[in-house]
Amino acid sequence: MTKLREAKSDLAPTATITSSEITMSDTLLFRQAHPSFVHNSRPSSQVFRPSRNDNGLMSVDNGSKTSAAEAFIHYTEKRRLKSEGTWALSIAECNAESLKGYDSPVTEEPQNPAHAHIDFNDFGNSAIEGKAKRLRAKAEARGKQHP
Amino acid sequence: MPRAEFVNPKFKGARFDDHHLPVDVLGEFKAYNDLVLALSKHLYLAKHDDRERVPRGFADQLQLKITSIERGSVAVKIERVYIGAGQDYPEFEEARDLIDQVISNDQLPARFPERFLSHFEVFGKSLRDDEAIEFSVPGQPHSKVTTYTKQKRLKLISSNRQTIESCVLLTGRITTVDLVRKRFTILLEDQTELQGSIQEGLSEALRDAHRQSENRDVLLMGKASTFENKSIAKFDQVQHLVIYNEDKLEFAFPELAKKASEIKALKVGWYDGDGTAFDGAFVNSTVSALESLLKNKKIPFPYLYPTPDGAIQAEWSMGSWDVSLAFSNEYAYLHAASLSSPETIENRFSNWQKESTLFDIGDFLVKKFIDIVA
Repeated sequence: MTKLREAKSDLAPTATITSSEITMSDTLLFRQAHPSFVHNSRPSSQVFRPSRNDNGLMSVDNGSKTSAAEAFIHYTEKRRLKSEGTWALSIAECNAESLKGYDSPVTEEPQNPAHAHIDFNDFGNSAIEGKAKRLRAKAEARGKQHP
Repeated sequence: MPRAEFVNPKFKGARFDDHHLPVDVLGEFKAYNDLVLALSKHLYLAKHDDRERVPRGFADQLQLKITSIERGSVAVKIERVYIGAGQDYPEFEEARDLIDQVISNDQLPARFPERFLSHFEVFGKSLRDDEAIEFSVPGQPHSKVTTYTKQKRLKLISSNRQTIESCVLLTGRITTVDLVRKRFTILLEDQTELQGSIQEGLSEALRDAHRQSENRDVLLMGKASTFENKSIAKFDQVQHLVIYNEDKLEFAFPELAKKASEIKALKVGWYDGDGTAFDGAFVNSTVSALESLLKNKKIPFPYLYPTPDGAIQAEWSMGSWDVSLAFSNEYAYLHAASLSSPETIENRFSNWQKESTLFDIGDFLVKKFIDIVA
């Protein structure tokens, strides 16, 4: 399946991305957690939902194209954003929440061919919050992937 | 001192045919005594809803003594000695009778919590295949003898009881910490001992609580395997922990003050260019509300996070529920999601700064998400 969407806010504002669904159920999707969203090593459910400027698309990195460490380095060193660490969700876990993951490589600098996103647009706030909590628990059980 | 017959166990089997009592069965008396004491505390507390603990000196009133050992094969007489002028408690005899019913009946009596079956791991351990202890209880017909065998013991401890995952809130004292196997034991007020797993970040606190357990009360919230009748089989995961030193808060996991300071220090744009700054008084009010929930409703501290739109989000892992309570100036928004189904629960509490609202929030959390308070 291929779909077109307007780019999310943390990409170049005017870019349009071509997205193809990630279907391998065991593919891991890496998610960076802002330090303020981690308390005593526990990530908040806020980490696992799009933030208010994300247009319902939560940025992740496709684990079949990059590693947890590389994803962390790209985020903190190339994009110069803050991260307490890399957590991971599987495609199967997202699908269980009726969520799909899409490849959405970033071609502008800093390029990120592994960039992907999870689409929450079909759901309202309470449902999104519920999904975020269940995804949080899955990611926490799997443990921080890096560092 | 006055005394009265309590129970008369007879040891039957080849080892006892010479009418002597082997030293290695002496542990059975201690195990029996421990079971009577634990069960009597439970029975007392079940009758007195308003009490969290049994009265001071309760355990001292149970003085069981072996007053004779006679032929037949080995017939032992155990008497209860009444000391001082302290209050007497009928729960000791009630516990004795309940144990008698547990051994003699095929089904557990409703008053006997399944978690006490763990006592049978110890009580009866020395019995061999051809041996039995026959109990007769004073006041009952001589023909009424309850026979306790190795087979009965194994049946009691290995009954196929289904457990479910529950959120439990426990108060007790840490009695053992095994850092190698990452296990600890908590002794509850009713003398039940439960084992739990130690996870990262808690071993030092639990070890300290254990070292000074005489002064330390521990409040634990987390996941436990529980039976259908709401008794606890084992404690699976500590999710929140509070340790008191003589009633003063000594340690909390997660901690609150440091995170609150971090939130106060956030500047506009803290979240990758987004995110508002926080007013110190608002952060303090939120912390006070959470302290009030702990003080009045024993709700342990949550994990704490700022949100980009200026709220402070408290999050609890409550068994198989993830619960958040987002404090803003206008209201506190509660959202909970079941981790095992799509079920969600929402509620809004206005005027959360008021003590009465905090009571309502605490009640809501306890009733909706905590399955067992012990």
